[in-house]
Amino acid sequence: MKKENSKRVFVSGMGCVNSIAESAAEFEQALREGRQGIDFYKESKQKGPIKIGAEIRNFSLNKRIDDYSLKENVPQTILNKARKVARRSPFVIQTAVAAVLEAYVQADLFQKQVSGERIGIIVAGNNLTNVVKNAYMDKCKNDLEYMSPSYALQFMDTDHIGTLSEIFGIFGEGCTIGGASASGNVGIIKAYEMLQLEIADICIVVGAMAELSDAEMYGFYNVGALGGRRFGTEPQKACRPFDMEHEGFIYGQGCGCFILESQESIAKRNAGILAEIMGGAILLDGNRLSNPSVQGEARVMELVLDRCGLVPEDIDYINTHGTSSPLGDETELKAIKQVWKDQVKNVWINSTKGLIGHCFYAAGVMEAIASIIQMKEGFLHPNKNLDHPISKGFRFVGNDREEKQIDIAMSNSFGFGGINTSIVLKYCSQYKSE
Amino acid sequence: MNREEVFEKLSEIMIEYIPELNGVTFTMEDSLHELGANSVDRMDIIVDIMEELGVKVSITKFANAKNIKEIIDILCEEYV
Repeated sequence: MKKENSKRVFVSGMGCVNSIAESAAEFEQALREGRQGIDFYKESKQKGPIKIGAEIRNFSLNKRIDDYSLKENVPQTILNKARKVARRSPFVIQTAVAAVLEAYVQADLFQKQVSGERIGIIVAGNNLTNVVKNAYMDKCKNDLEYMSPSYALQFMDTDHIGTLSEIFGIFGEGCTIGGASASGNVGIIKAYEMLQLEIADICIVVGAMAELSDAEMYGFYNVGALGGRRFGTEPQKACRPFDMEHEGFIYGQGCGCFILESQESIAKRNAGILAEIMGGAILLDGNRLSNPSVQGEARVMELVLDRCGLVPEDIDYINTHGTSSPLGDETELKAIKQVWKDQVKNVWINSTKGLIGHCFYAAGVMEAIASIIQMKEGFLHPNKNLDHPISKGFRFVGNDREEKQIDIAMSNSFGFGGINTSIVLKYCSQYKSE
Repeated sequence: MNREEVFEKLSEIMIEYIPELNGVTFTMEDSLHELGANSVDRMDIIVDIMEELGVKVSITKFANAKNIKEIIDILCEEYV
């Protein structure tokens, strides 16, 4: 049942960097084309068990800042600050700066300002600094007494918070949050709740990039979660959510930023709206292991529908968690069937991971961005490599995009340790185009 | 290494952390802070020059060093 007095929360800006796009604007075109970012790794990753993944290529924060310098919509003071503060920042933070910059521009937050204390920030993801730590340890292993003082700041995930709040003048509530592969949705949901409580008028949500080192890759490989063996020499075929030949997730790099804003703040600023967040839900399985649960996934989808005052038939489209892992894909389809029953044939389904791999902490935000882009532009991106679906009776988008206007979308994310999440987004026709 | 060489090495490290200093003339009388180093930059620079010289001094000893000259004084006390 939808709560009375619940405030309406909208998305006023989006930004991202991933393996197929350097911006949300480019992401739209890439989704439309069904572009895929999975390829052989650049050399440095060749030590891992799997040689393919969806890496971010050719991204440079300095270049991005230079591009913005040529346009008038970002104050020079902000760009100078971004250059200076993020200069020595790890790659993952630099992608976050770029994503937030893009979202701020879209939300017109530089021109139509809000007091910094009314802006909050949540960075979703944990263990964001593994690669940074490894680099420092390599450098200082012979003598830890020369450990870089910067390490004291950089080893914590909150380096994201410090950096972004300094560049963008964010003085409200800020923290990092984790939910394994569901982190992105967890961040969106907590930001939504922050606005419900009126702690902030605007909340910046960053789904942070997961930079996995060889140790994590071998861990995932040995626990049987990492795919890419069967199609190791044909990277474009390796990520196959819901297909009979799926065998595990393919690692994807990406960072996404969502700006959530209250209805009052949007009206005050006369800002544009991209979509409405109708609600979200998080439920645990009470299970430490990596196996998903039909019951848990079904229950969280039912709960978010209930909170939004909706029934399953109201959902036109589900952006699935769809990792290309056999157990994960099967479980999610069973859960969807349990909730939608006969109506399952009416709800469109795709998986953005088929195009950009599994972006881990960023996945929930990235996939919500993909959902909004599809809603705004009236299409559904293809399901890559879905040659033989594991289950019949579902309305999968095929290998080509569908021209379809979606009104209400659901986006699922599920994480190891029994973390189930789902959010519901509604199309809004009042948005400014760039 | 004599004091001039230490200053040169230190300058190289400073430019790594503060690229704007490239081409700027500065002297031992200047302070890292005035030249654009924030508090953590300053510590990073000092730890780096210590590593370069093979010197180990507690960072707290540098807390009151007002300028580059005083930093080099402390380094050279320890440097053999």
